[in-house]
Amino acid sequence: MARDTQRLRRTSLERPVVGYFFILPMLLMFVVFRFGPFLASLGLSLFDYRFLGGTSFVGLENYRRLFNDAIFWTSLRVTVTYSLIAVPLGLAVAMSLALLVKEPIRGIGLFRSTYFLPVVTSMVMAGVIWKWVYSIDDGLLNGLLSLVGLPPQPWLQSEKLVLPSLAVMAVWKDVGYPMLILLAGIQAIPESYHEAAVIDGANAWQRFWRVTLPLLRPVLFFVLVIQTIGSFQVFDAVYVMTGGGPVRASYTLVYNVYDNAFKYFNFGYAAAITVVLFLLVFAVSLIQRRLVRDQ
Amino acid sequence: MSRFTNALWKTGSRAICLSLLISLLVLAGQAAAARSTVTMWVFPLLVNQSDNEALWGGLAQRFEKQNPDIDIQVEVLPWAGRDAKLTAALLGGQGPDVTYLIPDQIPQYVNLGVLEPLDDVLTPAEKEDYWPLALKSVTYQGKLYVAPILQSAVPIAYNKKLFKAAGVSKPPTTWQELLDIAPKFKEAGLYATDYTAALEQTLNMSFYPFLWQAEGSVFSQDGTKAAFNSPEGVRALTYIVDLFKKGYVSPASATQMPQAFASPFAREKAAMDLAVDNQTVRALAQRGMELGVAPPLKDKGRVGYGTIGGLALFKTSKSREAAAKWIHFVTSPEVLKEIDLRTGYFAPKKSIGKLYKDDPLLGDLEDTIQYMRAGEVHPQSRRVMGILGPEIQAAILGKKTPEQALNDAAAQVDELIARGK
Repeated sequence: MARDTQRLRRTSLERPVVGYFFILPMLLMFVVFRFGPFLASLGLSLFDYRFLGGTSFVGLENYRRLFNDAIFWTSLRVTVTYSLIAVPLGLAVAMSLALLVKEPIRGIGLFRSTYFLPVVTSMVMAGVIWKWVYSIDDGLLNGLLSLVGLPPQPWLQSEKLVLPSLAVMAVWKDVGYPMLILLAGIQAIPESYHEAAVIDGANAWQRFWRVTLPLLRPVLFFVLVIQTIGSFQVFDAVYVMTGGGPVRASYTLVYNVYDNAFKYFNFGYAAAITVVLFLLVFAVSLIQRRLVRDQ
Repeated sequence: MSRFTNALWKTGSRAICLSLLISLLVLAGQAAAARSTVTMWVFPLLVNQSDNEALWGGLAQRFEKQNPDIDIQVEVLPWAGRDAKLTAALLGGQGPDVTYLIPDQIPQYVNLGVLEPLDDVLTPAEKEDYWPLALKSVTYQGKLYVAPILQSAVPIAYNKKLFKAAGVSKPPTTWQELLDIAPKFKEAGLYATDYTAALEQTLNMSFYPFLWQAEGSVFSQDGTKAAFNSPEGVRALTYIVDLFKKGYVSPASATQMPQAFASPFAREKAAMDLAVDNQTVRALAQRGMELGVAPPLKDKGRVGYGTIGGLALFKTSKSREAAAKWIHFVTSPEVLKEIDLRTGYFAPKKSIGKLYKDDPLLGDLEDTIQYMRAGEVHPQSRRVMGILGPEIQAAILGKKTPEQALNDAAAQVDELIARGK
C-alpha cells in the first residue's frame, strides 16, 4: 500500500517534466512562428515602417486612418457578408455529408475519400477550374443553364452573385475537413442512446434533433469556430478568381492587408488591419462559445 | 530522472553536437571556395518557361566562363504579384542582387530605400550608347536606376482573317474609325476589339493609352494631384464605356482576366486587341493566327504604351562588384542584341539599331515605337492603379457615370498624395 502511494507520487511528479519535454518542439514552434509574429504585428501597427531606416512611431495614427478609410469598411462588410454565407452553408453541407457517409456500408471509404479529395487539392488549381465553371460565355454552369433554356448568369461578374459563387466554391473545396470531424463526433455517440430512443418511439428526425445534435455540441462548436476563422481569412480563392472585383465586391480584409503590405509597402497600416481582424475573429468566437457551448 | 529521459538527453546532446560539427564543416567549405554568387530575378520574356531558362542559363554559363569566381543564379518568376514577392524576399533578407524592373516600379523601391543608383556603375560610353528616351524613362529624381535591356510596344493587333470575314479592309487609325467599323464585326457575330478591365490588368495596357490619346494625363504636372478626372479623362472613359455598352467588347472582359491564350482575341472571337505586346504578338503568329499590327489609335494624339525593361541593382546585395560585372555583360551590345532578337523585343541602344527590317510582323511593330510612352513615373503610380481600376470597372458595369467614377477615384488619389503613403 505504502509502496504504491510512493510510486504514484513519483510518477505524478515526473510526468509534468516529461510531458513538457514532449510538447517543447510544438511549443517552441508556436512561440517563434505564431505568438512572436502576432506580438510583432501588434507592435508594427503603431509604426510607420520603412524598409531601410526611417521607421517612426506613430501611435494610433494607423488605426485613426483605418476607421476613416472607406475601402477598409468595404472590405470589412465584404468579409462579414461572405462569412454569413459561407459558414452556415459549409456547416449544413458538412453535416449532411457526415450523416450520409456514416453508414458502414461496403465501399463507403471511397465516398469519404472522394468528398475529402478537394481539401488536399491546390487552391490555385481549384480556382482556375472554378473560374472556368463560372465563366460567363463558355463556362460549365452557364452551359448547363442553357440546356434547360435559362439565360447565362454573371456568376463572378455581378456584385450580388460574386460572394455566393465564391462561397459555394469554398464549400466544395473545404467541406471534407469539417465532414470528417463531424463524422468522428457522430460515431463517438454510443449506439445505445439511439436504441433507447427507438424503443421510446422516436423517429429518425427526432433521433437526429434530440440525440445526435445535442451530443455533438462540443464537436459542432469546434467546427463552427474553425470554419468562421477560415472564412474571415479568405484570400486565395479571391486572389485567383476575381482579384477582389467586380468593383471591390469581393475585396476581403486579407486582400486589403495583402495590397497594403506587399503592393503599397504600408506595413504598419496592414498590421493595423490584421489586429482588427484578430479582434473581430476573437469576439465572434467568444459569442459562438456562449451560444453553442454554454447552454 | 527516469531512464527514458536520461537516454533522451544523451542522444539529444549527441545529435546537437554532430549537427553543429556538420554545419561548421559546410561553412568552412563555402569559405574556401570564395566565389561570389549573384542572384537575379527575371520575369518571362518568352512564353515558354523552358525557353526563358535556356536563354538566361546560356548567358550565365558564358559569363561564368569569363569570370570563374562568380556564380550566376537566375530565377524566372511569373509576372503576377512580382512586387509582393520582391518585397517579401527583401524584407526577409532573401532578396536577389539584381532584378528586372520597368520604369513605373522605380519610385516605390527608391522610396523604400533599396535601389542602388547606376549612374556610376554604367560607364559614360555605355550611357552614351542608349537612346535618350530609354535613359529618361528609367531616371527618377535625377538618378539612373535601371540599365535598359529592351523596349516593347503595344500596338493594335488585328486578326486578318476576321477582318476579311467582316468585310473590313484595314485596321482603324482613329477612335472614330474604330466606331465606324465596329458594327460590321457585330453583325458577323464577333467582338470588334478586346479591352480587359479586370482588376488584375495593369492600366498601362487598358485605360492609360486612351487617356493619353485624348491628351489627358494621370497626374498633374507637378505630381501633387490626380488629373485623370479632367474633361479629357471623362472623354476617354466614356469612349471605353460606350464600346462595352454597344456590345463591341465581350462583357466578360469587364471583370475577367483571361488565362494565357484564352482571351477573346486569342480565341478568334474579337477582331482586334489593344493590349498585346511583343511576346504575345509573336506567340499568336506562331500558333497560326493571321496577325497584323498597326500603330496605336489616335484621338487628339497618337500614343500607345511601350515600356523600357532593364536590370536594377539592390543596395542589400552582398556581392555588388560581381553584380555590376554581370550588368555590364548583359547590357553589352552583343548580348543585348541576342536577348532582344530571341525574345522579339526592340533594342534600346543606338549601336544595335533596327533589328527586324526583314520581319514583316515585328518590322511593322518596330515602326510603332515612336508612338510609345512608358508608364507614369510617380511614387504612387502603382497604388493609383489599385484605386482607379475598381472605379473604371464601376463605370463599365454602369454603376457610376464615367465622370462620377473618375471624380471618386481622384478624391481618393488626392488624399493619398497629400498623406504621402
